Amino acid sequence: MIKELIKINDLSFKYEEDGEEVLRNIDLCICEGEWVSIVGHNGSGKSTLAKFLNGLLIPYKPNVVSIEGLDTVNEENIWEVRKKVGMVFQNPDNQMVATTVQDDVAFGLENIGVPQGEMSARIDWALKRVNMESFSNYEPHRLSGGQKQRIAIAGILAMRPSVLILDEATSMLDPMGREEVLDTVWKLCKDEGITIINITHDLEETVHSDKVIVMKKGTISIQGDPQEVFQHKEKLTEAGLELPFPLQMQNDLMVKGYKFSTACLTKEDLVNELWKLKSKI
Amino acid sequence: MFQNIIIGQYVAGNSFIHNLDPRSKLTITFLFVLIVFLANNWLTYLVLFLSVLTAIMISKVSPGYIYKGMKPIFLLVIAMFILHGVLTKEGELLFALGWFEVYLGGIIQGLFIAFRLLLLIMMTTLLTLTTAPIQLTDGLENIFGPLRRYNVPVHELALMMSISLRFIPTLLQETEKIMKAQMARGVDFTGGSITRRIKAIIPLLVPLFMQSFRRAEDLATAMEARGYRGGEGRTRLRELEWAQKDTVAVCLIVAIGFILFFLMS
Amino acid sequence: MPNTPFEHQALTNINLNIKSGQFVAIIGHTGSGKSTIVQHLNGLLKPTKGSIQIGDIVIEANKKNKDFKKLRQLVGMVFQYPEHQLFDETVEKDIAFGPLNFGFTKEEAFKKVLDVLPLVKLGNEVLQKSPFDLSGGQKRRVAIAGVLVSKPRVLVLDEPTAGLDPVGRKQMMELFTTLHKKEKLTTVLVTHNMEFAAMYADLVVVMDRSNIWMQGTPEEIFKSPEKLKEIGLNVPETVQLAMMLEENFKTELPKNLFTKESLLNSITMLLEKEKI
Repeated sequence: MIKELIKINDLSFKYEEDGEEVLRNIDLCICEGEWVSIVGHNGSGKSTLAKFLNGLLIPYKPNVVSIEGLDTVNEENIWEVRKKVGMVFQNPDNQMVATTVQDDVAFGLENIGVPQGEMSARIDWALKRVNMESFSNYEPHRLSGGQKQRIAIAGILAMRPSVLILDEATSMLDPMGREEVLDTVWKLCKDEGITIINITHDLEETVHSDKVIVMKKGTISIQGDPQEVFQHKEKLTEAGLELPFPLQMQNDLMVKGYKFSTACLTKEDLVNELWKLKSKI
Repeated sequence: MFQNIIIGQYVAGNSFIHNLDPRSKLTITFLFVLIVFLANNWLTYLVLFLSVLTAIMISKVSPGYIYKGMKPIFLLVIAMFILHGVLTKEGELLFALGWFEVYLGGIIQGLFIAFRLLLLIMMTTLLTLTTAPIQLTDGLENIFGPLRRYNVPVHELALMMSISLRFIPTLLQETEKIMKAQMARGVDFTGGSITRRIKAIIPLLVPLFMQSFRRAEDLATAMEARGYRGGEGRTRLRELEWAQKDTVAVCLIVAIGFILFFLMS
Repeated sequence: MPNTPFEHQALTNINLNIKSGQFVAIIGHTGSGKSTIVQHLNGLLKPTKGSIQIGDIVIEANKKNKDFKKLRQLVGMVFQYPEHQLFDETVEKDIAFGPLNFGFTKEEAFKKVLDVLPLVKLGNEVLQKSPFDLSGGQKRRVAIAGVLVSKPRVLVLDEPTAGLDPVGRKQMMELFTTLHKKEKLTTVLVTHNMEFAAMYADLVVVMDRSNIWMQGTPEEIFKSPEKLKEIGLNVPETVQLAMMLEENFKTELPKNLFTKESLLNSITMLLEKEKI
């Protein structure tokens, strides 16, 4: 049976007492091993939502956010929750604490009190998972952006989490760095069964996810698998998002009167659909 | 411009001195500072000089690095020499020009002081050349650990130190970038009067500060997300290990201290 | 930094001619030398060998050059994340910073600020605000205004869309292309984005490990994906799709399908052709 990992029940939040609500009536359920994408424009509340998932923000009342059954409103649960849910942030330069790669990966382990004898093995294992095992003595400033993000991932991985959140972790990377990071995370999801929550403003990163959640002005405007979500083209554009290239092409073709049976999320899909169209003719 | 600066001038190596526990190295350097003040004749200075030379040889650090470490201080050494040479009025009068008189005792005193300063710098340079900054921080945290009982935030101070070390290269890269951006807008950082140069610094400093605040904020969030909650209950990747060789090394410096005690006049 | 253990050749044997009014895209991986090249264009970096000529100003290796101010006024440079260079109390003062350095009086400089605001689509209401109180996108526009205000003839853009979302990227590029045409600028764009290079550039320069790997019109560059793949670069998505169609439909398509519209036409033609 599929295990529910994260459950959010009617979450609303504002930063200031008399300010605007950043999140409004969010209901959400994320299952073990899923790849979930949360997309939205700047200010849609997606990063605020992420901060609730590992106890960086805490709801006002109980039974709103629970992670593997632990209610984050309960202060004793927070440290347990942070062990289970790791988070990689946007700026690769602003997350590394230590002067070498291995010391940085060790940071989280030191925080949760892993015995010294166990650390080296865990660090090596984590660095191998992100393909950075030969960099363990490097200083952070000698690494590329993509490499730094992978070290950040290793630092979380070493803590054996069940969920990894990428909070716009690829938005400051070049295409190569972005690919490195996404490939690494994809493998972690498939091979290690780690649940991935990718927060992004790039719809293109979402086409392979199990679930896409579209945020708009603090509410969930659409959620479902990519096929369902990409049916709502107007809603996506309204949310300030740009459709992936194959979908844009498909859209334009539909305007010209061609009919398609499914939404084309990848170029391969589109070529196949065009081939079908042609054979029908 | 700055991207390749070596921080803390540490040179990796595998010598006896490199492998000493940072705490023993810190203790030795501290004791050495005390011992240097015992020296007051040629023989004692010779003993100290030979000890430092031996230490440098054992460390296998190229003397060029030691020299580079001392270079910025030379001016100070010369100034100390002149100051003591002129102000000490003992022994035979060597030279007189009106009120300006130089005595033999002054020259000797000046040389001693200069030499003392040089020895101190050589020793501390050797310490930083053979000990990684992170080890130094660990060593200091450990040595000052007992002060925690008196509410001194030892762990926090050590963490601050190591985070600063981590961010110095980043900050230098950032400085270079902002400097270039402002130069592209017509700033001249090198020319002009002192006031103009100071004014030119503002467009560099303000963005640097703004960026650093943002970094600090980001870093604090990232640390919290990774389960950081102060020194309580933390384990460490690098445990310091006091080995026999550390005891030997500390005994050696104590022995040198005793020898000096007997040789001083 | 010559004579240090870290000295390395950042650029070797670069020969490049940019004509007045051209839109040039420089593409390549991080560390391929893209940013190094463009920093030679306004004398932030000086060649150790060879020379660079911009207009009638010549920078030669091993020669002192006093024309840097003139050069930097002629060549405006927008760095990556330009909003990081903002520093002054008000937007107005920050934008006027360049002209004041270049020797204009306060009145002239503030007049120029008023002229430049509409170019970056900002209203006068921001002038007296602190640049640090603006939104991310507005900050970037202010920083860009701070470069444009000196009326450069050459505009160098180093990854001007870095960190923006897709919609923001598009708006930013539209801003620069309009400027390029309206002000008859010579524009040099450093980018990772092949689509931008294909759509906007007259000349594409591909850099790899301190060398120019190839240069030419977008058609010339993107007709040979193999050569780009060798250094880990890709062709624009429109070209990728066109190539997949060529393979699957066993047909030939034009080589310059760099916009959605042109590709769309080709696809409809492809489908219609079969109909008849």
